[in-house]
Amino acid sequence: MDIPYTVERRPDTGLYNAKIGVWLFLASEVMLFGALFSSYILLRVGANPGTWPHHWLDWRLGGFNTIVLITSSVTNVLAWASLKLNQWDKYRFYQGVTIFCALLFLGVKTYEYVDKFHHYEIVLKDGRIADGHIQPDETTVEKVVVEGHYVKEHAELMDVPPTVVHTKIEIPRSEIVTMQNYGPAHNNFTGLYFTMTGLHVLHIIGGILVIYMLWGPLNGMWKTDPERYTNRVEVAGLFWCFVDLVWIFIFPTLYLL
Amino acid sequence: MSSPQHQVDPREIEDVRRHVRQHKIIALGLVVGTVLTVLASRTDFHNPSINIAIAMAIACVQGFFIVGFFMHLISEKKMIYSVLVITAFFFVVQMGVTVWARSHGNEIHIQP
Repeated sequence: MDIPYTVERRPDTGLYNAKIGVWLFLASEVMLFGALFSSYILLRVGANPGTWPHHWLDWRLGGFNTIVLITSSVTNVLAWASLKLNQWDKYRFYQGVTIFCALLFLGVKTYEYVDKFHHYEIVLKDGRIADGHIQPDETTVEKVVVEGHYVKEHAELMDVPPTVVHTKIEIPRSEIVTMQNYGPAHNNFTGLYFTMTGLHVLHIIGGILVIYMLWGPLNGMWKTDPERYTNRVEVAGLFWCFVDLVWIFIFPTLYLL
Repeated sequence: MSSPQHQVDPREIEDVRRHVRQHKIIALGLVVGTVLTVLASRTDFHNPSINIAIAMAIACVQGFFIVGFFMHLISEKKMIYSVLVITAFFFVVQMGVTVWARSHGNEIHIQP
């Protein structure tokens, strides 16, 4: 039995079924990300003055990724338009660029995550705090080596001026009270950062898998049922644009404000 | 893979071409919006609330263009609008609860 309304429109909705399905799914996604944004607002507004981190993320990387995602959304829409115009080769090119942009985005995100996991806050017995990136090759069982700087108070780390000079610091392990990287458990900000961007990354991976499958292994449908294939590309594209939309709000929220 | 696969209505071709031109202009606008967001966040307005308001306003405009044009919501069917009106209602309730939690003396102090 054939699946009904994959191409022709249902008389009652005026839409093919997959389209209304994806919009219902996106509606639930709005609530999912909405919950995370409301958590962010609650935690940020509730934080005591001077305890919320600023400029912990590199806005240049975030801005670059924003432009990469915008580009991928455009090429995705252009790919769908190419199918509408029966231009298969153009579709392949544009969707190939979309996949490339998604991989580029993931590459930058991986770099950012690795950077955070190598960034340590080390509290010493004399009360000072060493903050910087660990040097794995030079760190031994006796000493920890970081490229960073010292501060006297934890609050100084909340908004480190960009002019601060980083030097190589060698710390004997016997002098260390606590040592924690800037992973999700570091504080509320990093917890939210990894949760929000992590969920977004999962959406990127899911979206690009679907786009890749339609672009590559499952593209045979273009020969047998081109209109249905075009509709599938459109539905995948709606999801992809939504992923871009979420990032448009994540970027200023986490990277700039 | 060979093309063409199906007959395309000439009016539809013109319509799609018009959309493509539109999308390219909007994409450029989105990039400019991103640059403006960065500039707004780095400008000293002597009140951080103004930075937040401007950055969020630009993000909302960008969001409108993505949803309206890239996702074709501006020319969608009534059914989709109905779904999104319900979503918008619950989204407002969700954010309203957050705002409510900060008012009515529900002071919370969270140590990061």
